[in-house]
Amino acid sequence: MSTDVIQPRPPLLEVDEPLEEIEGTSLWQDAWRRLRKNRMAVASAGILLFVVLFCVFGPWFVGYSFEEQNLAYGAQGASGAHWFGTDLHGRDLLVRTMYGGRISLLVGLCATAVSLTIGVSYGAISGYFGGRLDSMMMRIVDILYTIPFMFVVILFLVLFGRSLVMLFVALGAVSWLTMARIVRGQVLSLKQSEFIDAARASGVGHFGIIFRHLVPNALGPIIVYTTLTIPRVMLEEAFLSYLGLGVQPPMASWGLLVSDGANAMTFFPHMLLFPGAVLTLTLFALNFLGDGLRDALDPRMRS
Amino acid sequence: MIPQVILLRPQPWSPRAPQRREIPLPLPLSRLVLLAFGASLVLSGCRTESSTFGPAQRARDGNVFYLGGGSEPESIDPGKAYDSPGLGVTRNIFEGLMRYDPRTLDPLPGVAASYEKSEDGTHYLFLLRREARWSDGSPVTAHDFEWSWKRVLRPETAAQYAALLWDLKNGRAFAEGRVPEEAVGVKALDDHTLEVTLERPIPWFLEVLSFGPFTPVHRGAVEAHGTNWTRPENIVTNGPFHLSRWVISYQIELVKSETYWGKDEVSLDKAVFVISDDAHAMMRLFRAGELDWIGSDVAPPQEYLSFLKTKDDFHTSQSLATYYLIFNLREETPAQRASPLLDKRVRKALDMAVDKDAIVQFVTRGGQRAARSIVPDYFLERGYRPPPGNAYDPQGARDLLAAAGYGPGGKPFPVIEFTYNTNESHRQVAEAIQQMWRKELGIHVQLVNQEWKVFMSNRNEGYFQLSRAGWTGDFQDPYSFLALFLGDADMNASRWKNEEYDRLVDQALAEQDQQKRYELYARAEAILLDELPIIPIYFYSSNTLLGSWVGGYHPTPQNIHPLRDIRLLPQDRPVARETP
Amino acid sequence: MGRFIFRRVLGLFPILLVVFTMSFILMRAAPGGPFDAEKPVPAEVKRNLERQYHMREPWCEARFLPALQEPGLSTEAERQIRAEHAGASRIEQLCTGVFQYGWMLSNYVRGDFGPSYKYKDRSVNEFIRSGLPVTMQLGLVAVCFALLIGLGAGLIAAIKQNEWQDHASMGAALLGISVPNFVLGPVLIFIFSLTLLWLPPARWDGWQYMILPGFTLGSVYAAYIARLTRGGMLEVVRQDYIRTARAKGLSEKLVILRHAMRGGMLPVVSYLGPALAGLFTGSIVIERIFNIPGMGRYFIDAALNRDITLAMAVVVVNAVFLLVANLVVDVVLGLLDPRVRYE
Repeated sequence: MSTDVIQPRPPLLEVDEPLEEIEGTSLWQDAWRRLRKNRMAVASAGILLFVVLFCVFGPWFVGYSFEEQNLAYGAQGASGAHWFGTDLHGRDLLVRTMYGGRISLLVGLCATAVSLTIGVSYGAISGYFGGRLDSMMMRIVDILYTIPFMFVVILFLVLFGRSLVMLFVALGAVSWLTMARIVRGQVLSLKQSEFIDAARASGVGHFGIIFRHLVPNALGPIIVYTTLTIPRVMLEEAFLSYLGLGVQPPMASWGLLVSDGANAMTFFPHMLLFPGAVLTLTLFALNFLGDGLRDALDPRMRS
Repeated sequence: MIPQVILLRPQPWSPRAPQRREIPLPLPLSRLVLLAFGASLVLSGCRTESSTFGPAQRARDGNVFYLGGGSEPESIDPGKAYDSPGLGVTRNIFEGLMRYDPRTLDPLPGVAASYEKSEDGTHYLFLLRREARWSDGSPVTAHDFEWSWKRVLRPETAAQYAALLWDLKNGRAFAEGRVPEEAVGVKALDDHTLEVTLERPIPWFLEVLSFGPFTPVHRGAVEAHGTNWTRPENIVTNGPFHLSRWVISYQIELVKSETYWGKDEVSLDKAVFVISDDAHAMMRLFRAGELDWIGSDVAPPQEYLSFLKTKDDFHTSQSLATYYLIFNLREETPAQRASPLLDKRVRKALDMAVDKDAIVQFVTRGGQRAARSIVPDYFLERGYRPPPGNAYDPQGARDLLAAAGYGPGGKPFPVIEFTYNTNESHRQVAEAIQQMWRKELGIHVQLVNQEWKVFMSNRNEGYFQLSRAGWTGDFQDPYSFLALFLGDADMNASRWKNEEYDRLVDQALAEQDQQKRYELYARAEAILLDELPIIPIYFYSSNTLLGSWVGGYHPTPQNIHPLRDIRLLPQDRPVARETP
Repeated sequence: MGRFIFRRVLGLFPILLVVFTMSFILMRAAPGGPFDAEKPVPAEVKRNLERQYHMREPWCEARFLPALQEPGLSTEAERQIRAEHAGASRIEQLCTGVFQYGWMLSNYVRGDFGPSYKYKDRSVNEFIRSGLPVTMQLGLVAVCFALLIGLGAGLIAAIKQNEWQDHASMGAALLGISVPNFVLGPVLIFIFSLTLLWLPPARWDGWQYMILPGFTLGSVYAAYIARLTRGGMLEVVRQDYIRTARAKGLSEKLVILRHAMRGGMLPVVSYLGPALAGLFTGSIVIERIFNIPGMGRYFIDAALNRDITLAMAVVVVNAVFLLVANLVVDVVLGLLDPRVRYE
């Protein structure tokens, strides 16, 4: 066909109205939307919020002090005066559960923060630099995996004394391994991306790339794993309290309340029932929220 | 700037792609949980009001006695046994010159059929039974005793109770390598005669002969097998029972000895010591009928006591032990020299501000008695008249404190550090005392708890300000408590020294007449209670659970219950329980 | 495959050495010694004990702090000497530590874990020999419970996705993760032993005794396995090869059991490695609650009693088992999924 003259092509569309602005959605907005649709996760978040308020502000509404003993009264079940009953010393369990929650949540958050800091830095550095450094660092992680956390924590606490800060450090120091692995995996797959090349080309140094570009993009799994680490750390604190190595009385923690309750359960079931229910509820909610976040941030991983 | 990265992947098609159905709460699960909680509440609420904690009738068959043995024994070599569980086994498989009367723990003839004692109380002659035999059939001779006692003194044996044998003439000197073996005051004159010479007269010497390091070991077995000689396949015993099986950290089985001279008086065929560290587990075992007796090394935990008091199978008795606080009176560092605790008025004020009756009534709640002196109340029935000590008097305490220059308007009182070893009941007592001092005297105490080894190490080496302590008497004489505070004693953790006190106690030792001796002790104790290097808190009681079908058990102050006298009664005959 | 295994086995030894050294340093550095007791032991006796157990090395004393070798020295005097010559004292302690390390290492190489510091008539080997089989039995029972319950619940949840069985299973699984085992244990004992009288409350004398402790120990792993199975199965069920199998007309049961399980099991298998580590930690508490003569019980008391040899032996034995178990898991993983190959 002769095509000496190129005719302008007729328009393919009849467009009468201006086209709408197409808004891109970011990862975060997508995730947020999905999270909001997950009713269980939202309920969990609500429960967690309630628990936090309960623990932080609750004691002002309850008359009793958490350490005021009433030895003659002893352990009594739930009653009008003591909604959760009292413990063996006559201390009000409701207030102790609230204070215990403060400590447990604090331990959970701080130990997780420690673990987060160590794990993310370690994993990111290992993944980014790769090669021999990476093998060596992961080798160390493998070695550390073989030492059960319990030994290290016990020895730590026995050596350096039992204090709240020691607890944060000890618990955090043994929980970072999996986080490091996860972050390393993410960094490994992200470091070949073009935006990293772009950053390097604009002269960003190694640590800038790691902490300002790679880590924020790996945030999804990090957040998910963090919300799953918190309940794990809280359970580990409970375990240590059971062995007598955790929080020391008269301070309370859910772990201490629950382990005392477990022992006294045959005679005073309320001592286990109430703190145990609150602990279980909180852990439940944290796990649910973690699952929800995981579904929201990466539907590939959705169960 | 964070680039927009979208991680969505198209949904793979699957014929069974799920429809998401939102259920607000997993209904069956919530119902299940509520049901479980409700059931357990109901079950725990409607506890059958039985009169016993354990079963009313014995659940087991057979003439085998099951008891709680406490934790795993460190050693059952009588020369080396040091811990209570170890001694609990040792005293049933070995027998010394004397043995314990089951009711009073007074010495009864054991391997020694008779004895002679010199006027001044430093010479003894023991005539051994000819029918006393080892489990391998060979006779128990005086040579066995001589060899065994010297073995305990030898430094290589590293026997922790060696100091008990320092009372033998030249005992300590031999232990420290200054004299040869022959100089020690124990000699076998022939196979059946043992001559013993003491450094000075010891009023309780016969009683202590029933105790661990004075019981004999079989030379052949020890020399042939070394540290393995206490294994069931190697061990040779001379007591009413013999070791038949030992599963580490689980149970120890003893069978009735066929070679024991008094075997006709032994009723049980077999005894099984159940080893455990967890008192709660032992309680559950007892409740389920798996134990006949919870054992002398297991105490029902605090939380059960008020409930157990009403049960028939729960027994409380006085114990020969005192719970007290120690002040560190060393003056080695500047901090120690400046400590207000060096002033005895301050110590007295602290003593007077502790409501000991409240502690035993509300905190420990286990039948303990408030203590105002260090020598336990058990000695009252033996005629000991202790000095009165300080009564609970918070106002008086405040006055004393003011007189010492502290209190309102006076010098500020520094924070005192109170150390105790990690243990539930110690914590409760410490917290109660902390509160009392804060409320009555405005004195702040910081509680420091340390685990056992660290605590002991610190206390023995003087790294403490105020520490808790407990002491069980090794024999039934006030000396076993008063000796703690002699100036040169290794065990004097406070390092308090008073020459008059030392003199009185020494003088008392030489006194043969018991009443006069007790008077001297009381004068010494009066000095102690005036200077107060310690604050007595309470006298221990021993609480135990015992099946109603167990006979031959008598409450004793040192919590010693020889299995030789225990019998399992047939079910239809309840035993008349002795009132302690 | 053989080379892979060989290299991994070879790699065990340096790791074990590191574990050994780390735990030795920690135990040695801890304050409080094994021979401190309520009734203080006469100084000479204590010194003898310490010499026997290599806590005290005469050569080091002679070399760095000869004042310590005077006969008849009291603990007070010794403490003062150490305080006065702090630097020399520290070097002497270091020297003793090195000797003790060498002594222990030479023992370990010969398979001898040394004498127990607390239980003076026993060697640590006896403890391990007596306790290890029991702990392994307990672990095996727990793993059986965990796999049976976990796989079962996970499968059901995956098959009946989003119906009530799914929610019930996953809810129960979450509950299993949220309740500590030292709480679950006494609750189960209370219900099944003390109230219903179906099962014994403690001890280890027969198969009935294994049920409650095994279940309690395995419960948390059952929960994780259930979740992982469900996740893994759902992931696998979307794959093309499952579609193919179905298209070929195979029954659903065959599809699930023969084809899907293999892939779905992968996350479970790789979870088993870290799970075994937790199993041992959990057994410490379970053995105490149920009075089981296993190895886990020894550790805490050993640490608290400063029974250095026993504590270290438990750590090292545990490390050996974990490494071997991880190796086995990796091999199994490789067998199950040919896509995973050895780096």
